[in-house]
Amino acid sequence: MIDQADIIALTTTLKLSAFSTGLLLVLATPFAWWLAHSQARFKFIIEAVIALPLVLPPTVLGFYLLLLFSPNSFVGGLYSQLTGHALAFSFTGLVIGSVIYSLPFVVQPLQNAFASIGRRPLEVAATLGAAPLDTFRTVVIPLAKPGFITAAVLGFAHTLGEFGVVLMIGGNIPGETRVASIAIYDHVESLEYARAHSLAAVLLGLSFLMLIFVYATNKRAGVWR
Amino acid sequence: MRRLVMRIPTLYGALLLLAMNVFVQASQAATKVAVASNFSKTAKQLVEVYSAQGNQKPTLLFGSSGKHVAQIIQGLNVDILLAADALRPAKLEALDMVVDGSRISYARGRLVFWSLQNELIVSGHSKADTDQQLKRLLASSKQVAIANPRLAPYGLAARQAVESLGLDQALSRRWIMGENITQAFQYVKTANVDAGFIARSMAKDLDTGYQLLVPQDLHEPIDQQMVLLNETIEALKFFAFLKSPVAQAIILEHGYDLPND
Repeated sequence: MIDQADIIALTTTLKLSAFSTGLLLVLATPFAWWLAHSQARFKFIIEAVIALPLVLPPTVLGFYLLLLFSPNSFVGGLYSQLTGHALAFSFTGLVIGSVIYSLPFVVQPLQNAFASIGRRPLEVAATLGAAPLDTFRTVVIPLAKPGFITAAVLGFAHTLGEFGVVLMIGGNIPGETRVASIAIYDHVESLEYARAHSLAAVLLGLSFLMLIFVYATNKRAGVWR
Repeated sequence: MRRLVMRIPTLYGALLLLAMNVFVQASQAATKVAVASNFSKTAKQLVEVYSAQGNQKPTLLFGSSGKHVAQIIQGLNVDILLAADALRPAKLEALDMVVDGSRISYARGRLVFWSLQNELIVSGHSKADTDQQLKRLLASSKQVAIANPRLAPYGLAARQAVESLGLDQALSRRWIMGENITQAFQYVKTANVDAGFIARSMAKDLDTGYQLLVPQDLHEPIDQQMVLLNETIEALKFFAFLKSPVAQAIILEHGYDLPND
């Protein structure tokens, strides 16, 4: 049913989702913390910027990334000077694209989770003599656990379904940038519906299972925002 | 004044009905033509010239021929299909969905190898020299952009050309595949890839890099075919225009060859 090429595409997808989610959790946690607690006047502008990938067509994002990755641009030129590789059509390039693409799906649940904890538990912990990092580890992370799970699963699942951005900056290289969604598209376009079906069914099943997991977790924890 | 305000919903409704009526009429009357993306620029000009002759302007739908054929099989109502290859119109013909005997080639695509590196060694103009030059350019490119050979006829032709030169093994790890020929073009245009195979119809206004016309005998001809799906008077008229010398001149001007010339 599923041949070797499709398994490679599926593995690439899972690898991309795992890398992007890991990176997103590290980047988004301090960011979401700041958004949840800052009183800065310009905060709403930052929030709007973070929500942009929700409303932009992926082709817009992909198009600007393609221009950004070009060796003629500042960023692309600097990267290829430092590493000797180009960013476009590489796995690294896809990870960068996915991080931007899935950013709101990770930042927003974390921000909500942090905001719902409020200042009170932090003040109590401080009174009891806990250092800030201590408080974060022993108070915030356990209290915000459903938020972390939601953020991680949504980030993972959203990257799993990424298509438009990869179509623009991927280049369809087996084992590197040919992800499952692109492979499905190729099968459909070349009228090989049976191959498209089997791969699509796997993605459908995976996505459904992950969402079940998120909703079940949130139901148990009693928070769903 | 008050009476006018009360009448606004009625007026609005009447206006909406009128607009819908006009829209439905227009969409019923105009000939609908599904056009392969690579031919979109040429098709637009063909339609301009055709309507300037006093004919009703056909509506153009752009997209990949694979998608068009799938949509036509699922019930999309178009009168003419201008495809990017011969395979997909033949599929419609096999399904008895086209007017008998209407399938015909209207243009022959040519491949151009486009390299952003300027170090070109000109050694002669014979056929063997051109092959050698192409080989050298291919060998010195870091990556080569092509359209996906599974989906796009220009991609298939590019792969055949590379196979004819015996370079397919050497290049297998350096392909960057675009979904179609336009995307392969974008990759080189934005300098993300230093060389690629594009259609001659796209190479006309390029001012960067070096372009080499890929010799015809290195790949199967890229014959683009069209079929007539509905025998309305307007559709028949436009179909005939597409085969006329006026239309052929425009097709040539856009970088295509004519089939069998």
